[in-house]
Amino acid sequence: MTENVKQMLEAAGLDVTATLGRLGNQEAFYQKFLKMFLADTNYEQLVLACDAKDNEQMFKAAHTLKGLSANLGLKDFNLLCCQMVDLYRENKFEEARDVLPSLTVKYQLAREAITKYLG
Amino acid sequence: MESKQKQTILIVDDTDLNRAMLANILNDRFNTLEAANGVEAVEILERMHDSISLVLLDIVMDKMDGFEVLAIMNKKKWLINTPVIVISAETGGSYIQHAYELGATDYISRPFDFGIVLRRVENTIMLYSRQRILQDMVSEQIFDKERNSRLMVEILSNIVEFRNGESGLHVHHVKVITEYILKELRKENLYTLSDEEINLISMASALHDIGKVAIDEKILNKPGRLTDEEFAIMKTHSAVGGDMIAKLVDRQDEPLVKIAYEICRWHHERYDGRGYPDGLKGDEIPLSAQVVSIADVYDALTSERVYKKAFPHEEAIRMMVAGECGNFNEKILNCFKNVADDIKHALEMKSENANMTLVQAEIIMNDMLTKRIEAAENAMKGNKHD
Repeated sequence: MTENVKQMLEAAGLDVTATLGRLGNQEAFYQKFLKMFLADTNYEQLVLACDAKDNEQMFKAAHTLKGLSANLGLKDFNLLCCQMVDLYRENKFEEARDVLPSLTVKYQLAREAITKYLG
Repeated sequence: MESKQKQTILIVDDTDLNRAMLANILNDRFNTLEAANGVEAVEILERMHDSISLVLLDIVMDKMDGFEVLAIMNKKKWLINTPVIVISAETGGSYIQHAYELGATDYISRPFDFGIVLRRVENTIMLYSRQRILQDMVSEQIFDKERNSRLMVEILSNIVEFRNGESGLHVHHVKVITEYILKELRKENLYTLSDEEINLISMASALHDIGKVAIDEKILNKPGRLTDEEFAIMKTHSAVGGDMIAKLVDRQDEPLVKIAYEICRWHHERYDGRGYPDGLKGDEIPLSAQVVSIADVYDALTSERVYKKAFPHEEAIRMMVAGECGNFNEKILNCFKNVADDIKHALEMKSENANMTLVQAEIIMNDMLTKRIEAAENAMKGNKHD
């Protein structure tokens, strides 16, 4: 991975160095899993659940995204997933749903950068 | 870890990407199976938990979550041999605590390091396979010990049989019959008997005639009817057998010793009170002695002895039921009748198997006797020279 690509990913909120470290510095794995992340539907489910005000489903999707983003080092996006999960746990469902717009911004940023990286 | 056969790990997670990541970590060293929710996981475990060495379990899932899976695994006792490592994005203390309480062996939170996951999986599997090996070793040792003590009892009782001029089969037979009757008594709910008790009584049954070592060989092996006086001597063998057991120092509290005493002393008592040595009546006679008494009479009737021919199976049963030979507790006699055919088959099979070894044993015993007689004769000659 070139320094340029790395900077591009980091600008989109990805913690490249730490994540690669956890994967045993095997970039092939990193690419494989990021590719799978692009195909994952949990974000779409989260949006649907927020629209339908289905708190239960919202929590499940947010919780799964929290885990995925943690493992893949999508730092900024992960932070907002955590926020949503925590608010749900405090029974602040409105406020949890209100996280969605800023979460979406970070999600899109990460997606674009990953798409560019994977070419 | 170098075994040819790879161990199998079940990965339970409802997100494809999560399963793929874990499979990626493990695939070099292990076979992996995947389940997309708790229901699938339980289905797979139901079918093949014996061949699954470890479960990696997500908690938040649709269709049965990880906590429920853990609870089921605990209830079905699968956790004893199949450890579970919970993997979750959750970092809350109470959440992790709950997983441990339900029986999880370890907890890994996201994000995880691939190398560390592999180490923890390997260590857990190694720990459990060591535990399994140890378990096998312990049960093998217990089994060996048990087998040796059974062997000692058999050797002891064969001495009596040998002096009796009878094959060692009688002891075998009584033991087999006793076990059959006891199991039937339990099946019919007439007595509550544990496996342990059944085991002890049938083992002790082998000792029922040890008192006969004190009886003169001429009486013991006399062909034809005994005189009243000889019969009176013969009858002392049950009381003498009881005394032999009662004189064991410091061992009177052992269950086997207690039961052996009952059997030795009272296996010639009769339910109507007309037996010997104590004339016990009805259920004053301990169950162990009552059962062995039936077994003893049946085998004596159906075997050839120096003083009598063998009666056929059906005839022997008829005689016992009609009260022509002995007098027994009707409930126990009925149970004996229930399993009489099974007993007949079991004894026929046993006799065929035992025949060869008995022939060998007889040759060895005869040889020993000849030598003993020679030694005695030589000693006498020596005395005369003096």
